[in-house]
Amino acid sequence: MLKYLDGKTLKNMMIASSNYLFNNKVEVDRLNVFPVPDGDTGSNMAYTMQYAAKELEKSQDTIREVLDAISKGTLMGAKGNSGVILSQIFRGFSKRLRDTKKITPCDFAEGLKAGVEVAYKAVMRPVEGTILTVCRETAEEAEKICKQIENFEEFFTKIIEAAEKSLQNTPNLLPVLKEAGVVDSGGMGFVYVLKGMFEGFKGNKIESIEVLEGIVTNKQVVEDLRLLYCTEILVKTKKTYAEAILKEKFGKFGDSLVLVSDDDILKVHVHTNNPGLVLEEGLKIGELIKVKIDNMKIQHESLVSEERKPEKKYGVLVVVNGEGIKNLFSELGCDVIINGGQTMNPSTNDILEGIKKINAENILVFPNNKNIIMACEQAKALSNKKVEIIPTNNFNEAITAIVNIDTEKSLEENVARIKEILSNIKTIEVTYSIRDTQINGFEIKKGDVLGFINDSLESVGKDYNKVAQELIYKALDEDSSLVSIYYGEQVKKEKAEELKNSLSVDADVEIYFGGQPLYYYVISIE
Amino acid sequence: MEKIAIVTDSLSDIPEDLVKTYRIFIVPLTINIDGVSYKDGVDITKEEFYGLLKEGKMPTTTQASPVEFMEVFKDLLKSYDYIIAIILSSKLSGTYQSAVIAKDMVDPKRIEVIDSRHYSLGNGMLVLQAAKMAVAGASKEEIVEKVYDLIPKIRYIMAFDSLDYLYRGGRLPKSQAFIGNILNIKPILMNDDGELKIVDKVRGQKKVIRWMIDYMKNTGVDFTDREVGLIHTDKEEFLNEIEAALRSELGITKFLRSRAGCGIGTHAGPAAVGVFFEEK
Repeated sequence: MLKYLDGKTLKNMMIASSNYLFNNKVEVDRLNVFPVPDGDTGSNMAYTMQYAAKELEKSQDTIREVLDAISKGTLMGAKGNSGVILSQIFRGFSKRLRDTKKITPCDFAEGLKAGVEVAYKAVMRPVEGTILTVCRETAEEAEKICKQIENFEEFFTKIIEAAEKSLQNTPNLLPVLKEAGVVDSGGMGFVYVLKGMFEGFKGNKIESIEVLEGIVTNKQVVEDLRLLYCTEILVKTKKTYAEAILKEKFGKFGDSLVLVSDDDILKVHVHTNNPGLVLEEGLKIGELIKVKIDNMKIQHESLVSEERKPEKKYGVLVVVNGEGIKNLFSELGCDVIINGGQTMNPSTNDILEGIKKINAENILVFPNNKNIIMACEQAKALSNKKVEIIPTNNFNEAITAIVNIDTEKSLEENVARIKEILSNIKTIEVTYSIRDTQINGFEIKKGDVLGFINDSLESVGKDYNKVAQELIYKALDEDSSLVSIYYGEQVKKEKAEELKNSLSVDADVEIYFGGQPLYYYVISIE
Repeated sequence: MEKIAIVTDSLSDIPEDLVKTYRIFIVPLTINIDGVSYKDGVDITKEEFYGLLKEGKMPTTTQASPVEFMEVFKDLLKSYDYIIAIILSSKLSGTYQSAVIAKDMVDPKRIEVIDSRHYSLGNGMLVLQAAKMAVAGASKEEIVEKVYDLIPKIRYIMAFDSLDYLYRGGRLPKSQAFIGNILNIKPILMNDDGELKIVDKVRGQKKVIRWMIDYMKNTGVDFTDREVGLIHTDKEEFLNEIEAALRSELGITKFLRSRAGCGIGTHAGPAAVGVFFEEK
């Protein structure tokens, strides 16, 4: 039972800590959401520690030299925000203890305290719920208990407990962590630093393992969980196997495979749904020394906050027709898309059912056809949710409206803004006549191409591209800067491109597949 | 007269010729691509960088470290009396933090480190102003005062084809949701006290230009004699269109044009443009 640390022990502890953190850096990277979620906290801290380890290899074993090497090494290697903070913690720690002959638990506690002070001072705006908090609370606990505890074994066990407790509390201090359902990554890195030091103290040699997988983002954490169990076995093998063979033996059970072998000892780490098979495979090649199986879902869930996500502020329901158009609305993030249009009017009940499905504070409904507005109004009257009908005549208006929804603004402000924007949109529709007739003084034969601007018949012809072109020129004015052409199911893409290329206008011209029936083109001028 | 050195980081996107003319000292951030680290603008040129970006590489950045600043500071203090370091927004990078630590370790009395709350040419314009004053013999107090005076006045309007790069690098919180890369929808962002904020979204490049000009007109500022900053990552033609519109509609004739460096390119992506100006 060691009651004090000498230089040599401290050196071994730091080197072990560096490797230990390195081996766990991917896990730390995954948690990284603060201050910027770029997924590099673990890598940066590990890099910082490795630099210190390198510096230590060159140093003598006196406490002063070891501490100077730690201070210098972490500073030289300080990478990223968390690495910089870590270097400041060690700077304070080393400065405080470099004149000590033997480090007692109370000395160690004082060193931590000094590290906390330097780190807090170095950070411009210290944020609680980060590595700073974890380090500070660990130091406080260390100071509290050090007098009663004489051996380092117990001391370290206790302060690691305190560090972990502090880490688990970080989501309660930093909302961004709570939202993401994680603990602080830098704080976790610090816990690994302490744990690694303890391993080194106990004399366990920690080898650094190059992790085979790359940096994994937060999103993938959840996806990874299709494989539930993190399984690790240590096998004393009867003979040595080539790595390729081992990869084949164990790789088939899952992913994230890591193999480390040292003479006849093999360590296998794999994420799998069948830990039993991994164990059996291990038994085939030797004797099991150690087995560790973690259910990662439970690990993950314990990190996820219990609070349910609040309803979102805006939900959208649209009534549209045509494959391409439906896809566009779905990509725009519409919650419910109801099939319907000129010849296919959905019922009040269809719309009401749609509204029921949406879990939002405000629901905007876009009928996109005059004949459907009424059904929407009725559905609104029957619903107990906050519903607003935007009386759009065409889907292109709904596209512009949805693009312009500002989720930070109130419903009233959004409705007012949408109405204003919609008043500046011109809609061209190009379709064909189903019988001989007479409108607006035009003599119309069955099959003639009809061109409307805002529902008023403006052109009759034989060629839909010509009619479309004529009306685009007619509708454009000096404020128009965007022409969006949605071509229908009867029109080939080449024809639509031909139309686009035939235009010489000072505006952006875009073509999209709408796939709407009856209308060759719906064209939005805004 | 005291000799003052002006230091900044590689995300200030100042055109190379002006860096030389005004003797600005740049501490590079690190750009990581496929496991290889490059010093921004030192080990990798903009052309190489944007070439790699086109190939679909996903770079990341690492803040400049305290040691990197310490080396520059120590070296400069051999021949200068005083250093003013103007560093990109501390809300977006820990580089400022590193500079402050370096200052404390080198010589706090002879170094001033300013958190500019800006980035790209927004920071670049502050640095250029400071550098011009230093060359003209202004005192350190005058320069620092001028920089702080300018910080709240500098505005920029940025437009992107895609916000994927900003989200991926964590420089735009996911809470600022955006519907994505369809229908040629272009988000318009502005600087909000050192962070990016989506202020609007429009469809098509013409509407982006319209938005920029309307905003600038609404400031009531006469821009005819002002220098306006223009920047792009890999979107030169669009920038040309913007410049032409600013000339014809606002009568602007003086432009500070630059291509964003690798650091800004990493986070903005290849399809970003920005207009920078002094409002008021």
